Amino acid sequence: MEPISRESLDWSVRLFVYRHIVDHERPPTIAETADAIHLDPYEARLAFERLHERHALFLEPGSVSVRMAHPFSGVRTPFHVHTGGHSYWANCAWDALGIPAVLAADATIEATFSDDREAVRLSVKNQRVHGQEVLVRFALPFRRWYEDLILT
Amino acid sequence: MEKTWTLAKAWYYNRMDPNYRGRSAAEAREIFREVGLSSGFWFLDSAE
Repeated sequence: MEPISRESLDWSVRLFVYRHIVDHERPPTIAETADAIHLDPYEARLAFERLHERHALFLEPGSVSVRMAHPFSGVRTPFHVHTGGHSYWANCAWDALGIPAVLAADATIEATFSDDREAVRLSVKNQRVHGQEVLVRFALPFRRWYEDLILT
Repeated sequence: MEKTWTLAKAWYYNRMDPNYRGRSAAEAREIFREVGLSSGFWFLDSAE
C-alpha cells in the first residue's frame, strides 16, 4: 500500500471531522479521529494542529478540541440550526445560513441576535430563506477575520 | 437576509466536498465580488 502524503492525510482528517459533526452533532475527539482513520493519536493531534494553522479548522485556544469547523461550531452558541433530524450550533448568523448551504438542505434556524437579545426564527426551504428581516453585521473586515475568529 | 444567504451558499456550498482543498484570497475576493460585496471591507489587502 502506498504511503499517504501528509497533505492528503490532513484533508482526510478534516473531512472526517465534518462528517462526524454532521452525524453526531459534535466534533470528534483526537481519539475518535485516530481510531476512525487508523492513526496514532499523536499523528491525529498533529493533523488537527496543521489544519488549525492553515485555517481549515479552528481549535479551542490552548487545546486540541475543535471549536469551529466552519460553518459548524463545536460549542453552544446563540445560533441553533435544525435540519435533517439533527441540530447543530453555528458560529454566527452567517454560519447559521452556512449550515443549510453546506448540507444543501432545508433548515430551521433559532437565533438570538446580540443587539436586543430578541429571538429570531428563520427557515430555509427549497434554497430560499424565509422569516423576519434582520441585519447581519460583520464585526471585522475580511483581512482581520483570522486575528480573532471568536469575535469575528 | 437574502444577501447573507447568497453569500453563505457561495462560501460554503463545497466545504464538505471530498476534493475541497481550501480557498485562496483571490478566490475569496471573487466570491465577494460575485455577490456584490466590493468595498474595501472585503479586501484582504488593507491598502485596497
